[in-house]
Amino acid sequence: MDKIRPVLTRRWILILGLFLTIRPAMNAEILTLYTGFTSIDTRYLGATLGGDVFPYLQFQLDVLKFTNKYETLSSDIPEQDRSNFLGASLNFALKLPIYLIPHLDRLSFLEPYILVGYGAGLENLKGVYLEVPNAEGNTGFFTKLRSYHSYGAGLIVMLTSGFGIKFDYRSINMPGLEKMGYTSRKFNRFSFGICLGASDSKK
Amino acid sequence: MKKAFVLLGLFFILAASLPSFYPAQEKQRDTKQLLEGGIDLYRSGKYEEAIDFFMDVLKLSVDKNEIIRTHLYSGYTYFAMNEPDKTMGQVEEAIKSAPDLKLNEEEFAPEFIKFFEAVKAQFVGTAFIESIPNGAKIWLDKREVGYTPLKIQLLAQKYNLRIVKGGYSPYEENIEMRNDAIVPFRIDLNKKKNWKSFALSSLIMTVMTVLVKSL
Repeated sequence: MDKIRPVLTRRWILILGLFLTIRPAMNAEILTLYTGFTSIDTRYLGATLGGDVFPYLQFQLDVLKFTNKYETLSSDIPEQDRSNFLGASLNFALKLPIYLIPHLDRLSFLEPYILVGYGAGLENLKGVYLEVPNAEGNTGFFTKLRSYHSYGAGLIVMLTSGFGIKFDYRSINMPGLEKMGYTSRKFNRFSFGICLGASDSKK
Repeated sequence: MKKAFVLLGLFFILAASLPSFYPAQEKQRDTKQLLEGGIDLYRSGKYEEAIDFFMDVLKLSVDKNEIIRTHLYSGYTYFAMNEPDKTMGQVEEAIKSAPDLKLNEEEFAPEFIKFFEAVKAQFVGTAFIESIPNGAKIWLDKREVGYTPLKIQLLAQKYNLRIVKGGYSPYEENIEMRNDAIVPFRIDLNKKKNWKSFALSSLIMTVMTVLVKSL
């Protein structure tokens, strides 16, 4: 880890700072454990920890890991194998309070939301890659981080005041990294999971 | 031809349902007559016969108000027969069916009204429910009971209280009523969660989206 990519680091320090600033203001937590599939024929497992930072606005830390390889980017040569993906992102989810509409208060167990986030994925976990210089001549851990934007929408169905089922759709966009020879990539993911935490209308 | 069969079928279904519908109406009329007959017997001092009439009404009637009234008059008759345990049993049944029941002073003797109120105090409490802002719809155990502010008499037991007002987050709580007590509920509907705060959150979300895109 001789040199690190300064731009990416600065961004992450900013994002981490934002997370640490906002974290104490989170007055309720909701933990989601999920699984799902992507448009690139991979499956994954993930977890989300979220808390409200403002009414109807939730800040989330999301982690996901592919459980099988992405065939197109898979390679027997470790340096070229980018089929693994471990991603972490920070997201803002805006809850859509349909129960505020007169006569729809009974639907407070339904919590639809839209989401926007920024994250980074670790595309290759092969140790040998640490010693291989990239196009800029740098080596190290950070060269394997690849940032992405995520946009999505979902629905939480609260079965009790503290337990629910979550359905989530996200579009993951990874801008191209010309200098590293990585083209831009985009894939969609659909997930479903269980939520543990307080229902929005009961907080 | 097909139409004729359908019409014929409908006719048979209607014809088959008539006999069951007719006796139900008839039964209702009978129970009303039985109840009035029982009350007349009570007034003429024939208590045992009155009780027989009331018991028949309780066996046959499906009308809630009629059943409550029958329990009351059964209790009233037992009261006249100086049978306090039986009186209490009937009064209890009436109160359980209608906790906010009040006796008409012109219809019942003052001693019985006093007895009734004493029994009621053992089973019923008063809830005073208000919200900020008021005018919210109140549900108790999924039954709509009115709007805030509301004073209501309830049996001493657990209830699921739900308060709903358009534009505010619904409020839900499990409450326990105590007998012979006035229990106040002052609920501040979540002011933070309304359309205004949602609009503000949407604005923050838009800013965040722009920021994320620029990263």
